[in-house]
Amino acid sequence: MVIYSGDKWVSDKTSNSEAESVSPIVCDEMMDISIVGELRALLLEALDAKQAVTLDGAAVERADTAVLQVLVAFFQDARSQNITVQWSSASEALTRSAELLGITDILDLKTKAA
Amino acid sequence: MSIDMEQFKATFIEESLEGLDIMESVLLEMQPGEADAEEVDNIFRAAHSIKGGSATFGFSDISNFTHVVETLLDQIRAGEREVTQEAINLFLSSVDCIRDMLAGAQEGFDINLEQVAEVKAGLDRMLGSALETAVPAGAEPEDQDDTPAVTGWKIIFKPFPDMLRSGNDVVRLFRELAGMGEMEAVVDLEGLPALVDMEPEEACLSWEVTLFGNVGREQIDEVFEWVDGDCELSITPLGGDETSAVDTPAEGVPEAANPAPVQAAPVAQERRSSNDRRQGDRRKSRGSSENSSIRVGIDKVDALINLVGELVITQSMLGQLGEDFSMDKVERLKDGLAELERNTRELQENVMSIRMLPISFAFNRFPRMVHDLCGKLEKKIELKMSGEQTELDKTVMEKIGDPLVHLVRNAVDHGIEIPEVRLKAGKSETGTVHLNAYHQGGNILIEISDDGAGLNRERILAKAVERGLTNSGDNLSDAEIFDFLFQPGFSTADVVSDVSGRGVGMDVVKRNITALGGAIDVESRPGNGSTFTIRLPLTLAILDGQLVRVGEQTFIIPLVSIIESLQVEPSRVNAIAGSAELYKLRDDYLPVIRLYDAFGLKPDSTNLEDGLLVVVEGHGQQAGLLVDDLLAQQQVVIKSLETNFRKVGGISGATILGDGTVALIVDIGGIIELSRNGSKRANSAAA
Repeated sequence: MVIYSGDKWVSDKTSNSEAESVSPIVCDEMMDISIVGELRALLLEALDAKQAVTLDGAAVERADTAVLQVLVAFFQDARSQNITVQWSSASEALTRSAELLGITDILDLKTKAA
Repeated sequence: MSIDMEQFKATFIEESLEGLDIMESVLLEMQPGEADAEEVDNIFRAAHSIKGGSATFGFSDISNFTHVVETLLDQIRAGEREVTQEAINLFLSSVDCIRDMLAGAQEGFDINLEQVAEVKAGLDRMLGSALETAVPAGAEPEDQDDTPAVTGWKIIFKPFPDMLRSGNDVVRLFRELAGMGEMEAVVDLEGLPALVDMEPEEACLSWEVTLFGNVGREQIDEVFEWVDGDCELSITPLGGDETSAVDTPAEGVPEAANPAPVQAAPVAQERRSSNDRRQGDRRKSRGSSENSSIRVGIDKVDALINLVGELVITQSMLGQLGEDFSMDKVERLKDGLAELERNTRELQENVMSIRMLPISFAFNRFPRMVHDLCGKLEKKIELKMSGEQTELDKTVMEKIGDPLVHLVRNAVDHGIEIPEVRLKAGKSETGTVHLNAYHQGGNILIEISDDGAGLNRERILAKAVERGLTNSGDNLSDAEIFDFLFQPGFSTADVVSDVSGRGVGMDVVKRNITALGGAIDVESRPGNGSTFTIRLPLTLAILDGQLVRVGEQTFIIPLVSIIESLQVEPSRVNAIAGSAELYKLRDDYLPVIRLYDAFGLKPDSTNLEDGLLVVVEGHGQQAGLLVDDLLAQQQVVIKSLETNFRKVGGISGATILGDGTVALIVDIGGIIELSRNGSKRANSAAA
């Protein structure tokens, strides 16, 4: 499991390996331009792994345009590479921001509000 | 993280005012029909920065106003509009309005809404006429209005790559739009690269937004104000004529038919009287705000840092010397103290230089003023300025501004003749007003000269006789006659104009200059113009003084006022009527002023030959001050006597000497005046 812990993204080796093919990515509360470079790197790693990806957006309190467009690019690339991406949960703030930008469908967030 | 924007507000206003100065000077240079691309770019950039900054700081009135100016400038820049004299004048009025609005924002007073509404209406008219010609026949201009007839808007929004880096967030913008009505955003992924090629901080998406509801155009403009210049934006009324859409790449949207000025007018009317009342307060508060900050060149700061470094070295050297001092180290101690003195003096000079500003700060307002006056008075005048880089203390500069304005106005109104008269007199049609500044000794001299008709000596004399200021004036010199101009209420103008001629002011000019420790002289050449020369001390804070002793008191005489000092030869002294005494120095007779008499002190001796005569000059007159002894010369820091005690005639201030005692600084002009009045009183008592 990979989580964002305050200032950097780290691998959590102690997480249960209920489904080894899925690498859950837990989003931090503040998903904004200040972390977008790291988020992109992490998502690129996930794409390289060629495995299904699970995102956890339950804690997100703010998602800005920079973060959302990285997620859009990630979802588009994953689709073209037939990698499954799904949300385990998504906060109201996250889905509302996606809705405002008209990217709910692309991010597959339609029914994911936590 | 929240940023306290207040701390940047003053800087923004200061920079905006500088931008306005640039706009004004470029506009004054601009000729109708010839739009120099660089000139237009310069004004445009200034307007653009002011608009962006004012929106950031929440001054929406300024940003809305500047927005229209900017749009017009953009059209000129794009070659869609010609530069007309009307446009130049309108832009100049806009500069005034923005300047007022900025001052209002800074000081928190209400601005003259009527004037702003009037200029904005003019700008809108100009902008509207451009749009009318652009809109094909049949398209209803009302379609663009903010009237409830609009059912919604289509907004095409393409952020530039750097938009997100400047802190803007599309989510926030769209949230605001969504708050106004039903909103639907359709994203365009065309510019989106693969994640691996993506610069994550760059904006790659664009949107087409449909906003349903009774939303005013201004409301939408306000939302996108934040990203103005950072995006491509097109706003079209839903169901309206598509051709009336205004695409404004990079620069937002012009307010095509903004009804604001029309609405603002009645409000402005109601508030007019209160605004008029505030006008005076505003000027006052603007003046006081000038004291708030000063811009200093980095070279001056570096020099100071170097000097402080040297001071620290000297101090540590002296400290070390003091730790195990013995008499054989006296020489080193003396060297150290000399070094300390040198450092201190240099430091003082450098600190003083921080307060020195080029006089161009005071001169810069004149091109506009002369331009406006020429239009009003139908005269042709060329304004020449030289010595603009001459430096002057900031306080002196602030106080000399108004007297200079008065003198330049006079030169333009009374000095320079109208073109026909000039041609008849064999002069060129265009008159010249020359502003010149230069240093001379410890003074700065500012000359305001014109090549007009010159002062009418006879007329001034006749007026002076009429007003009972002199009997016949047969023995008066030109300088003495011209000095009548500075009498309160003295005017020889045939017609009182709103520019000048009411006889109010020249006395104030002289009073202000005298209060600064300066003097004003007039020279005139009949038919060839006149020159007013203002002489001012470089600074009001420090002066080079000669310490003199009178009885047990020490006085300071400003070194710049001293011509020479001499021992009195009793044979050269003539007592005249009353208590006045004259000393014959070469071919001149100087009034002798016994300082102990003037200040009521007990001297060493009352015999002239026991004392020393310090020959001084003040307010264009010479006098001999009798003192007991001359002491050292030194720089003294001037402390205001008025602030700390009260005003004393013949004394301009005080200072604290090295031994802690207070010494009074002699006001040369004042003491000559004082003694002259004393003599007059004595004369009239004798009569």
